[in-house]
Parts: sequence; structure tokens; C-alpha cells
Amino acid sequence: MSVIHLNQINFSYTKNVTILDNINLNVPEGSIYGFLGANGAGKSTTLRLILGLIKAQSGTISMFGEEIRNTYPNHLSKVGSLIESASLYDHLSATDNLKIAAKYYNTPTSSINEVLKKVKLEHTAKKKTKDFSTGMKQRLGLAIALLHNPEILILDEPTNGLDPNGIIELRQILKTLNEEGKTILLSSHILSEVEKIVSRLGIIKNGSIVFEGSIAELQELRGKNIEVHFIVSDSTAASKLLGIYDYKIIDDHRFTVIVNDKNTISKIINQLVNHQVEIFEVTPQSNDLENMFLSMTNA
Amino acid sequence: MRKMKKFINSISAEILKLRYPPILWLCVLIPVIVASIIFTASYLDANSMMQLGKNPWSRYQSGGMGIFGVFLITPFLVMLISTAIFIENHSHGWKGVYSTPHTRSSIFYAKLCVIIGICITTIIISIILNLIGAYVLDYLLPEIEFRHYDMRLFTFLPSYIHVLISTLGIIGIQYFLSYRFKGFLIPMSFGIIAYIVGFIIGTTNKPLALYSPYSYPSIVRDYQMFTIDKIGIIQYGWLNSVEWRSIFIFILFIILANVLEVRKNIS
Repeated sequence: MSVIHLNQINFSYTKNVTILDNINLNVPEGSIYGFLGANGAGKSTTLRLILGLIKAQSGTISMFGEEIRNTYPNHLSKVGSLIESASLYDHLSATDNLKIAAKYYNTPTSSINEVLKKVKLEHTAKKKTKDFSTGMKQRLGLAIALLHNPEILILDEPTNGLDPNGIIELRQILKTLNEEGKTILLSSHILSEVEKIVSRLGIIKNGSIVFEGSIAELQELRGKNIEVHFIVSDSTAASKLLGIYDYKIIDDHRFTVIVNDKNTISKIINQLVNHQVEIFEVTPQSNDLENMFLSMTNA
Repeated sequence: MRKMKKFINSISAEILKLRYPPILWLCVLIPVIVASIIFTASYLDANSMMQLGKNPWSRYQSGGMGIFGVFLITPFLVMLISTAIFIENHSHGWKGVYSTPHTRSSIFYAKLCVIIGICITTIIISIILNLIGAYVLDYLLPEIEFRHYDMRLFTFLPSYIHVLISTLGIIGIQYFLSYRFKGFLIPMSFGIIAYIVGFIIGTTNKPLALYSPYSYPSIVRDYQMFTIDKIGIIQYGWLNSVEWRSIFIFILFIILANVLEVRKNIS
């Protein structure tokens, strides 16, 4: 069952510029959904639409099986969000910021210490947030999103400003929350991070969804081809030996070949060596999410 | 009942947010300024306070209200409202509060209630400080004879309420501007310029002052304290025509600001 469902969503700020074009998106219950796209592709706009911060020109958005226009704003009591940077009142302490959120969500303040521990900010509870680093602010933003124990977490670029340790910690927190049964919709452009935790993916390009499914489905879609980069003494001479392969000459010394398996790489190397073409470097490009993402989102 | 509970929670959240030093200072500083001026003036010119058969409490409180109503309440409101909304803009708070299970209108009106509440609190602090000032003056200069007269609290309290009502138009306009403009500068500058213009119009050309809500506090103060009326004020029940105009402007701008806010895209 989808806990978030977008159907034929269109959105534009002005008549001539379309930001989102017929977006369809399904976030299954209990999943970690990675929402990927280059900067300006429409990720944040989509998340803002889901939260009701902006209104679509056409299409419908459903959460928990009901259209949000019928349940607004009550359904938001089951949603925690962190959109880009955290919304913090700099003149107040971390605890006071959480107290404000507790008022809005009608949550007891007793859960404040618990969430501060969860994001490892319990020792800075009394510190004013104007003295927080970007990473600390982001973690406090996550604490605010978690305070009312929501069923869905909507996080827009939550790793912004986090150091490598912070990113690893956040990944662990999200995994734990998911194991506790929370559905997480996570947008990011740090693809290697998303790849490690998501169970489902949506890729957006220029306001349109170009892929939705699991990582396995994405890999299947892209095939199992491996792109191999060669640096050799003479790429023209090498090209004469590569007739049966899918190759591309880059310059006098460099070319790439698309192969189906690693044995083929070995065969090509042998052929080149037998015909006195010197090989300086052979680099197989891994078929990971990053490469797939780049090939799908780049023009 | 659930809606009321949510609204009360919204108000509590707004009160927490407004624990902002400049706002707290404003609320204390304005009454202290009023009390200091009236105390110092009365102490240095004690003879004018001693008019045979005249209640010194009335003169003392009228002076305090005069300073408050003419010189301080408008700049105070301009600064208070601009700062209160600026806190939200500065913290990028709108996307946070509008992602909570509260309607935008509920948040909008909760903020407004808190601002009006702060204004009333400031007036109460001002009245209390004036009373303390009067007691101190009575101790230092017993010849003024405060102790021989009735304090008559309930005769000057309505005047404060009338002045407060006359500021509603200003509250409406400033609230509208603060919501429409993200920065601090435009609503604040507009308010200060309108206050200066309104003050000049209010003292030189009274009929024109009817079109300047920023003049209303001084018109109403003159009417309440000195029964001065150069513009043909008509009394409708307990309120006069200028106060009704102020209420109308308040409602108009508040509704307009709310409608625009509800429709606004939070980007």
C-alpha cells in the first residue's frame, strides 16, 4: 500500500515555466524512498507540494489513502519533515525550539530529551541555536521532525552540512527508524548515501519522473554492460582490432569499450598486446547507482 | 473544542517564540520612559500639580496617557509587529509552522492575538509604573496631596481602552505589511514615516487626519482627555466615529492579509 501517492501532478510558478510535469509517485508503506535528481530538477518542489506548502495546478496528492485536500491539515500530525535547512529560532535554545514544536504537535515535552539523545544533542540542550554549527542545526531539525513520533518522515537533503561521521550517524538513525516501522521519503543528490539505505527509488529530471522502482529494477533497466576505459599507445591502431565491440575513440591514446562480462576485457587486452599496442591503463567503470543516475539525468 | 485546543497551543508557541530580547526590552522600556517623563516633569514642576480642588491623580495619569498615546504607542506598535513577524522570516520558520497540523489562519490569528496581548500588557505595565511613580512623588512631595484624593482608576482606564481601539487600524496595516514583505525594513520604514506624517496631520489639519489611521491615537486622546474635536466626531454608543473607522481598517487589512497568506506559496 502507498502511504504517499502523487497522481498527474503539474506545477509552475509562472505560466511559461513548468516546474513539475505530470508527476506520478508512489511511496510504499514501511519503505525508505530515495528521491533523486540534479539540483533544480524539482525534488524540493515535489516535497513542498506533499506538505501543502505550495499548491499544484492540477493532479491529486493522497496520504494514508485519502486526498490531502480533504484531510488538510490534520494528516500532518502523522508527518515529520525537514525541508532543506532546519527552521530554527536562533534566539532560543534547542530545548525551547523543541518546546515550540511540541506545542504545535500537541506532544508532551517529556519526549524532548529522548529525541535530543537520538540525534546526539543532549549536551547542548540549553545552548542557543545561533551558536550551533550547520550540522548541529540539521540534527536539531531532524529532532523536531521526530518529536511527535510521526508515521512518515519527509527529509529534503538531510545530509546538508553534516560531516562524514554525521552522515554515517544519520544513515544509522534512518535505518533504525525504518526498522521501527516509519516510512521515510528522502531526497538527496549524494547518491552513494541513498544507495546504501533506500528500498525504492524515484528519479526526477527536469520536472518529470524518469524512473521509479527498486535498485534491482534500475540495474535491470540499465543492463549489465560494463564500460571500460583504456589508455594505450595508439588508439587508432587499437580501433582496428575492436570491430566487433561497441567502442568509442576519445583521442589518440584513449578509447572506451562496452562489454558484457569481465572475460571480454581480458580478450581485448590479449588482442592489443598481440598486436604490439602498449596498454598504460585499463579502468572498468562500475555500474553503480551513481553512474546510472548520471546517465539518466544528464542530457 | 479540538480547534480551540489547537488555537491555544498555537498561542503558546507564539509566546515562546517572542521571548526575543528586543521585544522584551520594548515592553519594559516604553512604560519606563512614560513613567520617568511624567514623574520627572511632575517633580520639577510640582506647582502645576497643586491646583486647589483638583484631583492630582487625574492630572498625573492624563499626562502619562498623553505621552503614551501621542508619542509612543505608534512607534511601539510598528517596532513590535515588524519584529514579531521578522522572527519568523529570519528563521525560515514559515515552512516549519505550515507543515504542522494547524491551518495557516489559525497560526495567523494566534500571532495577532499575542501581539495585541503584548500591547495590552505594555499598557498595564505603564499604568502600574505611573501609579508607583505617583506614590513615590507623594512621599517626596506630600504637598501635592495625592493621599487626600481618590485614585479614580476607573475613570482613566476607559481612556486607555479608547486609545488602544484607535490603534487597531495601525495594527492591521502594519500586520499586513509585515506579512507581505519578508524584510524588516519596508514595514518598519513605512510605519515610522506614516507615524510622522500622521502626527503632523493630526496636529495641524484635523479633517485630513480622518484619512490617516496613524493620526487616530492623537485625535482620540484629544477627544477623550480634552474633548477637543475639530473634525466632527460622532459618538456611536460607547465608541466614536474615529474608533469605528479604526476597527473597520483593522478588519479590512487583517482579512486581506489572511486571504493572501492562505493562498501564498511557501518557497
